[in-house]
Amino acid sequence: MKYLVDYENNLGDGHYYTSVSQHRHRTNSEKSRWTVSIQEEIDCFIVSKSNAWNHPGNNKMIGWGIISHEGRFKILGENCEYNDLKIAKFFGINNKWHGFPADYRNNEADRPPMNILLKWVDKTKMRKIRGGQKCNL
Amino acid sequence: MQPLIQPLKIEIQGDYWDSHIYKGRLYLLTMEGTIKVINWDELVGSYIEKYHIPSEFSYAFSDSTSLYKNENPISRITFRNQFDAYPRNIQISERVLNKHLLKENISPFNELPTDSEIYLDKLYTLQDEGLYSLDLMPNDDLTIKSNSMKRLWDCSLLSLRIRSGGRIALSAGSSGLYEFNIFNKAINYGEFNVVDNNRESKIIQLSKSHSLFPSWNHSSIFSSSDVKDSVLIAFKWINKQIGFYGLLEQKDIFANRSKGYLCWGSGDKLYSAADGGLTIVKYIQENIGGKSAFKELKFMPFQQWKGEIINAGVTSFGTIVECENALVILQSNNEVTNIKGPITKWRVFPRAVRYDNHLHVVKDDKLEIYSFNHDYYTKQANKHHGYLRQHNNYED
Repeated sequence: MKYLVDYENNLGDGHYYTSVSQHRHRTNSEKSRWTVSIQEEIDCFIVSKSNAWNHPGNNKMIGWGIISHEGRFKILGENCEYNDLKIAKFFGINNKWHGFPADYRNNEADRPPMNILLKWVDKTKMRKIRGGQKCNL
Repeated sequence: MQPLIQPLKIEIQGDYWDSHIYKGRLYLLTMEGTIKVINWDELVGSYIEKYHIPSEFSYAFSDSTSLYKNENPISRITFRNQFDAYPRNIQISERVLNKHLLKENISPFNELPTDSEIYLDKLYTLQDEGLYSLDLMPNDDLTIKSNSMKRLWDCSLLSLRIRSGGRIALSAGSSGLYEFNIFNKAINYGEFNVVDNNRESKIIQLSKSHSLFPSWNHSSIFSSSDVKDSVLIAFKWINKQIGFYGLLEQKDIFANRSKGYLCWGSGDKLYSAADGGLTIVKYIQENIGGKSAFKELKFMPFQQWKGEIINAGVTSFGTIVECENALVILQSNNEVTNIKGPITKWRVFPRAVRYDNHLHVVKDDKLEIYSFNHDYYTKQANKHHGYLRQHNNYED
């Protein structure tokens, strides 16, 4: 299935996902950028949703995603300073979602909660991510 | 020839997240979501009795202050002379640990805390929803006391350090550094933005620059960052009141050295890690604004195999440096102890009168409790590693 940018792509299960161009092009210097394909971005979201790696936030749902590859996390994006990012964050209101690569080192709100990190990594890495420290994912 | 004062160790088997030691109790936060409260003095005493260890061994793990007290020089000499008789590594199974269990509580927290400290019978924790406090006393039933848990502030935080007097330094990542003044003590914060000011406490934003972890250099706060430059938020005593003096960037402190990728401090010491090594500077708070408050003591190479420094701290017995591949203790007697990783969490207790020689290291399947006792025999004024410990009158 071909997914479009800046379009509510129908995932067929009542959920819609928009790949936002602001998080795909370098035109906005303050936002993180996906470096994987739109297909991979949406696949990442689908995996996140199917595993219920999400929780309520302020007036929205917040989801978290990774792309696991041979036991390691694949690079899925970069921050404004071109540093690699490996965790995705998704926002959803009324089953309409979008997401971006999360920069937990520069934004403390981009740290996944403990209960989700428990499913992804060992406690040593959990501690580093929650503490905003460098971590080899 | 007197024995070398090497660190002693107690290993406790189990899957832990964090540990605290306070008033004779060892608090273990488990990965299963419980908090075990262990009778620590009883546990240490049981090994002294069982293995006929000299009783002075208790100073190492239960009462470090006794060694510093000048009125008890005989014990200090005895402790050292008997050092060869002390077990270097005691291993405790969960079965044995549970013999000294006072209580195992279901954790009152919704999640594992990001960071925590104990102060005046309360456990302060950082959760996803903010800063919380929980009463620990008068009994050990923390589940019952979960009703006492209070959210003090709803900010997203990375690390906290509490200073005697009720001042909590809070690192909030990109949001900067804050102080939580528990008792709303009279401190002159100058023009700083007061975030919250109620009758009982006050929250002030002291720096907007990225803060990874804080530390207390006397009454000043050092805000460490490996994303932006680190900052010293300098306070000084003026007319018998502590008041804000100014913000000093790392380039002002480590002026003659290449830019450090991580700086930290505590007490009278400040450190900067750059490619090639560490720069150590002495901080003289009373000289802020007058004569030089910073005096470079030493530059020392640091072994590359240990990896980049990601976290650090300073105690009386030395400087703790967490690298990618190891935890390194640069001891106040200039010896070095390396602890291999991976390390989940390490913790020291600089405010603890009886346990300020402890280093707790949480690993994958155990907690290691180290006791460092060399500092009692180290001339304080000459120390490069570790802050000056007052009231140690030992003379070699």
